[in-house]
Amino acid sequence: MKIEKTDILIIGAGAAGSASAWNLSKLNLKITCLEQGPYLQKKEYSFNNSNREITKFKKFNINPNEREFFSDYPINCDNSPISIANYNAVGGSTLIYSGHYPRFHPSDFNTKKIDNVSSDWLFNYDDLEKYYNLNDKMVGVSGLEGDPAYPKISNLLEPLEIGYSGNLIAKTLNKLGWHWWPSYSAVKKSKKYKKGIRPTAVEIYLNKAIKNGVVVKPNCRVLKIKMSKKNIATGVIYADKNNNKIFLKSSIILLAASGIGTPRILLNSINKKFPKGLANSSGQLGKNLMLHPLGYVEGRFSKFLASNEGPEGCAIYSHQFYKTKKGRGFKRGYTIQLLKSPGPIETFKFLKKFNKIVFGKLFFNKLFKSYGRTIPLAIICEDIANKKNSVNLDYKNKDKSGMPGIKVNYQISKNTKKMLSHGINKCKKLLKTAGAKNILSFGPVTNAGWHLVGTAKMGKSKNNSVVNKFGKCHDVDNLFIVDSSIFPSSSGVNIASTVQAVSLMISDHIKKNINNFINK
Amino acid sequence: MKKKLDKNLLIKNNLKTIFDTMIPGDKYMPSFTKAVNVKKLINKISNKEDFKEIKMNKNTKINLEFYTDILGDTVLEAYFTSNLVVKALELRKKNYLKNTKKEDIYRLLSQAKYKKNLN
Repeated sequence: MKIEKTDILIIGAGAAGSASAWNLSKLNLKITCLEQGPYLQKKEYSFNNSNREITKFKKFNINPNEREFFSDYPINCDNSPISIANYNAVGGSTLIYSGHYPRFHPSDFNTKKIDNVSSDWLFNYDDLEKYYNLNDKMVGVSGLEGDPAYPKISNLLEPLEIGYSGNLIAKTLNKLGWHWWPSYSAVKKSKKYKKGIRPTAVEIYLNKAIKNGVVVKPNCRVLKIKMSKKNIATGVIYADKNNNKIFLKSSIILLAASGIGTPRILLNSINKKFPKGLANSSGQLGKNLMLHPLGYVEGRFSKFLASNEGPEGCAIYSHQFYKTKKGRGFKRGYTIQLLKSPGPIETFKFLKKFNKIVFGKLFFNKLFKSYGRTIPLAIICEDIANKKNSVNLDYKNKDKSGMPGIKVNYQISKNTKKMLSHGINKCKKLLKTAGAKNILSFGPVTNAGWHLVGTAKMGKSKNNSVVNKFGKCHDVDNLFIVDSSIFPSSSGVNIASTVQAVSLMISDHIKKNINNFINK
Repeated sequence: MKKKLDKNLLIKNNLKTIFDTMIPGDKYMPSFTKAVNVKKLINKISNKEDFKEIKMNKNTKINLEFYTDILGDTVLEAYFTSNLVVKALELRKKNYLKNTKKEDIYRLLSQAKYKKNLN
């Protein structure tokens, strides 16, 4: 087997891996980043492509089981009402994410203490704030200061247009006396591109890391982490595009392969000392999967609102029902997000599913009764950690390198069901008050397992958690996890901002203590 | 050779009629053949299996359901990515929103009743 060497190895070039790669690239060390997906050209995934509405069903389909690219691994979701969404390429899921970029609330770090659910983080919002600020600066986050739902957030770029539908919903929220605020978006306004420019992890971090000397190897899938007898990770075995197996030696290893990919590699790295998976002496690896169950409510209006325009992910949001309140019948809460409505192609496909449109004389008549006239709202529910919700290796379904796929075992809790139902009813009320003629609602949305959290949770004790405060595996001194796997609770907001802030924080810790690791 | 050319012409004309029957256009929107370079499109799809089915059915009466199944995605994609259609949608939007006013976001926020700290 061919042998290569590096000082620091980062597994995964998505949101988390890219941030760490850039942060560590300032050290005078050899850093390698392995990514199982390909390197795509910016023009292929650009936010401003006119055919984006088409590619999202094809090349940029969010479902890996439908894409079935070489870089995708099988994810069996037969035991889950929500299927997993991801993207395997340099840049990871940031190539296709909406760019909605909120931070976690301060209370999200202490849900055990406040509500006796999930587990508390080993640091709080104040500890992370410095890294949120740094990340916002690197990304270029649009938004508005002064949101009563958050501590002060400064240095935001000019907020994005909320559009006619945003205006209508904002007025209605004022009427109801509910909280709302324009969205925080990783999208910059641009004269050239009306939709704005949404940078991905490639532009934000990875290209800068590469300039500083980081080597990114696409199409390279990590199969196993190898250990020494002294209980130190010595490197990984990876398969290149031609399925050649290579041993890459490294002094430090950072895992950044997502809440599904990270436990998959660790579970596949069994040895005599760790027969249930590497770094799994606690038995917690792969457990406590949280997914942010999503509710969907859509109102149709008689007036054209150009609701298909505006920020891709969220124009305005409400945190009116974000925290626990007695009498609601559930703990924690959810975000209501105003989404943009689909473009003409997606509108047609949606209507056709219900036999409400055909080609021919009435094509435009039917299409324009929906296109630009519907207002979709999403309910992002905070998921509560539960050991029974888990991922494990699926030996029956292997990827193209022969590595086992993943099986997801996930059920929606009673708490979440009540939360979803509450959210759907509140959104119906909101749309009805706004003047919607017809309202459609459902939840949980099946194809919406975007936010993969909790499968290698942080904790003080090696008996009930996988990593410590700095993402270091309790069981292996030079093995770190820098992605959302380590989150002990999920919050009720999108996770990208927190994923990158946490990755920066952990890589800062490694930087400060680099001599301890490299000397080993 | 001549026979083959005639056959292709027949298919091309037939397809033009099919395309315009599927998307005939309206006050703002152009018909399919006005918006899309049909010659290019036919060249693009002529090797696909679906196209062979069209060839076999070229003499039958236009059955929209049949053509929706085999050409629907192609027609939608080609039409709605056409520059002429993008411009038509923009013009349509401007006309429809002529009398709709948008309020300034700061003004809307100043009218928010909920000021309590939520964090």
